[in-house]
Amino acid sequence: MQILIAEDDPASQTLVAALVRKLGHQVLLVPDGEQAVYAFETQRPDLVLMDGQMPLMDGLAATRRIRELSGEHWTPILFIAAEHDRDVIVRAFEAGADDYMVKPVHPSILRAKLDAIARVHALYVEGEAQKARLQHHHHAAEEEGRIALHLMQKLVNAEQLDDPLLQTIVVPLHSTFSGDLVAAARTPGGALHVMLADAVGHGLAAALNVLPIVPNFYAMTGRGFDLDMIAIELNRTLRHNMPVDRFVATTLIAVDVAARRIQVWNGGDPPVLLLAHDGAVLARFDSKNMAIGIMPETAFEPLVEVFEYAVGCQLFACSDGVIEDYGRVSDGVGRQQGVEHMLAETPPALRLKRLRSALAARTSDGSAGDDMTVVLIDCDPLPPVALPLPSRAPEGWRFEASFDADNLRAIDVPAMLIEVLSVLPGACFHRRPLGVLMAELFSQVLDHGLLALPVPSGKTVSAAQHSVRAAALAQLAQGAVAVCLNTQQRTGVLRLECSFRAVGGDPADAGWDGCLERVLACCAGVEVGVHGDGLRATYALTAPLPRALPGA
Amino acid sequence: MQTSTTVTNGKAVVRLQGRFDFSAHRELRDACGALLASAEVRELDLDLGGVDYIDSSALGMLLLLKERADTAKKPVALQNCTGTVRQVLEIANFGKIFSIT
Repeated sequence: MQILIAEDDPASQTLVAALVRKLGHQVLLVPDGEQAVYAFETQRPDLVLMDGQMPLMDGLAATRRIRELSGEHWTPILFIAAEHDRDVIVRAFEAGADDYMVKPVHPSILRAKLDAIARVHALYVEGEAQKARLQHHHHAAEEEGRIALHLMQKLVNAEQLDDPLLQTIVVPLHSTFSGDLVAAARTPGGALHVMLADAVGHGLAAALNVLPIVPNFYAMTGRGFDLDMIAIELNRTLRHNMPVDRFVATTLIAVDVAARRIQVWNGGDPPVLLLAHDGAVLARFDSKNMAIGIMPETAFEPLVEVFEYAVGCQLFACSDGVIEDYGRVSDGVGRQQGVEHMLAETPPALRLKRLRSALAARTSDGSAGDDMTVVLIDCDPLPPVALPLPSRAPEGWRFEASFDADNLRAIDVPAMLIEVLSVLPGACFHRRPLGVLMAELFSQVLDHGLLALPVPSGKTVSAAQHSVRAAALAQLAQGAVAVCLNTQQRTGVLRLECSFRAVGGDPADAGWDGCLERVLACCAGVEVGVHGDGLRATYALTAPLPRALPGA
Repeated sequence: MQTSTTVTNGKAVVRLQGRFDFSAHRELRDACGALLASAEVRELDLDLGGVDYIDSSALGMLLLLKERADTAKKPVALQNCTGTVRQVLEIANFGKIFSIT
């Protein structure tokens, strides 16, 4: 060790310095307290031998100062008192000394004390090294967590979680990562699918188990698959990717507001409740399936429960962290009943808030033992609420295309336009009414503006009319349908303007009025007008969803 | 969690006591591993009467145990399941793959 000796008496200096050198240490010698402080600051010795009585800042003051300077890094200070004065010794310890000796310094005592301090010092150094290694690991883990979170956010379509029917509360057990996951998406028909997944364990390690099944959920919902097929596919994927003890308790819910039908597949989660607005339990969907990832494909038979509702109601689903009692012997129903009771006596509009407070209380009083997640879905036969203006509303987005005779025969134009429109924020909610609108505008302009077919009298297009159109289209030699889609923001509402024109065709004389009626009949809440040789419709993307009427 | 084992007439009964969670991993593996490998044991029963807490990682352990028992061609049954343990096993529908009493 490098030892700083602060001693003013030359005889003592020589003696102590010689002793210390003999023990194999390096010596730094100063004659007073001030120089001791300076030497400590500049050289950072491993140990300080401090004489009690010195000029220019005595031993106590120097000890205090050095202790201050040493800060978080411990440097042992050995105080050398002139005599056995209890007072001085106590004050030496209070000033920050770690041990003391009394003059004259006996070689064997000095050696014994230095050895003892060296042992402690070695422990201290090892402790500091471990602390540094731990911090390094901590930073690496934080970085990994950040990357995983980034990946999760990419995989989970957060925009669709903003669905007006859906409310969620996600409370991770520790820090930022919950092992529970909620995903939501609409089918092409407009039904809302929600998945609540609770993997074994909690936090990042658990969340990783859910990753393989997330893309499946979105892909299959996007193609309009039913819950039983989705459950089969999720199970197949997880069985393939994960060992059997990494299963995922999952609830799949489908709400078709138009048909007033609810479907629930519950595999390992607490019961899903359907509550009337007055709190009465209309239906209870218990877990009747094993969690995803356990049963082999051949033995997996999903049990989906169906319920048709007549009045406005709300679905409640949660992960088991919400209803579990941790570290307490219980009959197992206490907290489940507590939650049901709370829901029953709270009006629907306040349930989210009350649940959020209840979960926050459990986090702060330490009674939470797992990630906690709550899902509330409004099932209301009443018109849905207005969508908020999307945060990334595109200013002046524009798409133009022209479809000549060959393209018209080869391409499903309305389907293509729906895909094009899917880049707009919130488009997923409008897929169905926009699909109907595109189809109607396109067929009107094609039939009436290009193919010169008479405007049909009835509301629906009959099979005969379809074949007439097909025949006329096959014969079409020239002309095109020009399409222009663009967005505008006016009075706080984002509007989509759709213009369809017949180019180079032979418009029938009857005019476009009959067409206007048909378009309005199929899609309420849309402004339509005649525009050149065609139709232009304006559709509000951020106003209440218009409902495509039956038969369209 | 503590375990105690008795073997009678080819039937091994492993009694689990205490908190059945992630920390019980080694204990369970040690207790059951030798039994599944032993020619004297033809079936394995887990007595869960003394378990006061069970979580999803415990369910995972049971599934892994079943996999190994299936390979060893020895049936595994869960006995004395009451209270919370019974509730958890019911929600998990473990009755579909385990005999539970």
